[in-house]
Amino acid sequence: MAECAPPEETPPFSLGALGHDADRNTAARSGSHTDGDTIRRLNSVGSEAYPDWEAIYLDNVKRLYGLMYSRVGNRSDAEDLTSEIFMAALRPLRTTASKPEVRAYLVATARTTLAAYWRRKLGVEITSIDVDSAIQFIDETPPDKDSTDRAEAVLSQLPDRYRRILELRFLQSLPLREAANEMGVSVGNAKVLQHRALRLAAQVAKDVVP
Amino acid sequence: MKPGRVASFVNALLRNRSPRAFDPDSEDAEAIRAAIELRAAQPGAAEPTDDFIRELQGRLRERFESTSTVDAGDLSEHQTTEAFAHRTLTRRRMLEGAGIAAAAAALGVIGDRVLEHAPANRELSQQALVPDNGHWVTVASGDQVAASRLTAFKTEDVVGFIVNEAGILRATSGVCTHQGCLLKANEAASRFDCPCHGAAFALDGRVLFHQFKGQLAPLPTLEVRRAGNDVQVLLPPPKSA
Repeated sequence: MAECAPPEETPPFSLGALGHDADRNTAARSGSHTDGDTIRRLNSVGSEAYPDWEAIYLDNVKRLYGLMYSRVGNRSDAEDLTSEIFMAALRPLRTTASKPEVRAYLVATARTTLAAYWRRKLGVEITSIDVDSAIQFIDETPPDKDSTDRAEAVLSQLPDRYRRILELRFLQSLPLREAANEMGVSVGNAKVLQHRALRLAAQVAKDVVP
Repeated sequence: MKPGRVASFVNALLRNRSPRAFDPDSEDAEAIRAAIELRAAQPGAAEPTDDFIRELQGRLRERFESTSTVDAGDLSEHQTTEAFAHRTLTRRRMLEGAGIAAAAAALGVIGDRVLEHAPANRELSQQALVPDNGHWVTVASGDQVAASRLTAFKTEDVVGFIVNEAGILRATSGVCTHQGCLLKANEAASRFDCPCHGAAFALDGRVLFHQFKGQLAPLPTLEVRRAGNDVQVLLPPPKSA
């Protein structure tokens, strides 16, 4: 009954789950990163409110979809989760809430929705939305190191053929047959190659700083 | 290790389709994580299509601008306003997710009690919430429930609905059995809708539909009675007792 998680385990918006992360992160960084800084940073987004729910939607839908895509890796689920988040989050929102408040609420909903998604898909949280990503979402700041940099760092450490098959399949979205042609191997070989390359990439990824 | 399952999961990702659920070991999980990271690095991957943006906008409009409900909404509105009343925005507080958290906290008790009674692996049967040492609490007047078929009520510990079918009263919990969101009474469709994930319950608490893979428990029912012009439900003793 992973879908119907009891509230005491997973309240819709866990009080403190992110808070604790925030504490840890703050402690891990320099002591100067205070709530005061955060408030100033958040205020830089502007404290004006959205005129109506459609403005909230249009201002945030692209970035929210992007966030979800980067966590689930396929369009179908990214669309479903984005819909689910807006359906859940828009109704209780007062339009008097400021932009950062609205975005914080959206990203908190996204976080819970993603956790529930992984619970029902695989029973393990494969990906999550950490505090930094949440802040980036709220502030609309680009991440220091984006997913492309990270993927490149991983790929660069793989043997050529492994790197090549992953590039063709995952980054260029070539069908298996075309990827096999491109590499001059059989479809069966390409399949095996892809499988091994992914396992190795997973190993390497563990050591690449996020 | 389940190479076959991982491969079909990854193939679904590569086709931009929703992958099928399975029970991975840690190595499988890492391979899947690596696959997602690679997909996220595709140029332009993170852009939603215009069709999707328009279509969802249409669905949201339908949802928010044409609901005929007996409004349990003033409850959640109250909670939300209260939560947003904290003017000082610390990062932490913001990310705690206002609104629903407050509502969930208010509803925690009924959630706990219902789930407490539920064995881990079970058919999800309907729970009648009949406390041993309960007490009757007035939640509405006879006039109120006579005036409309669905009346939302709220006590310190319980949120629910009184359903009046030709003078016969029933009471159900007003909290979704999935994650504890407050249900909306949808009088036109004779059901209770969950705004969070789209589940719907019949007026007697049965599950009508939901999108979850597993089962969803029906809404617990409460004992209800008339006492003079009062409508009362039988509730557990207050939390503080």
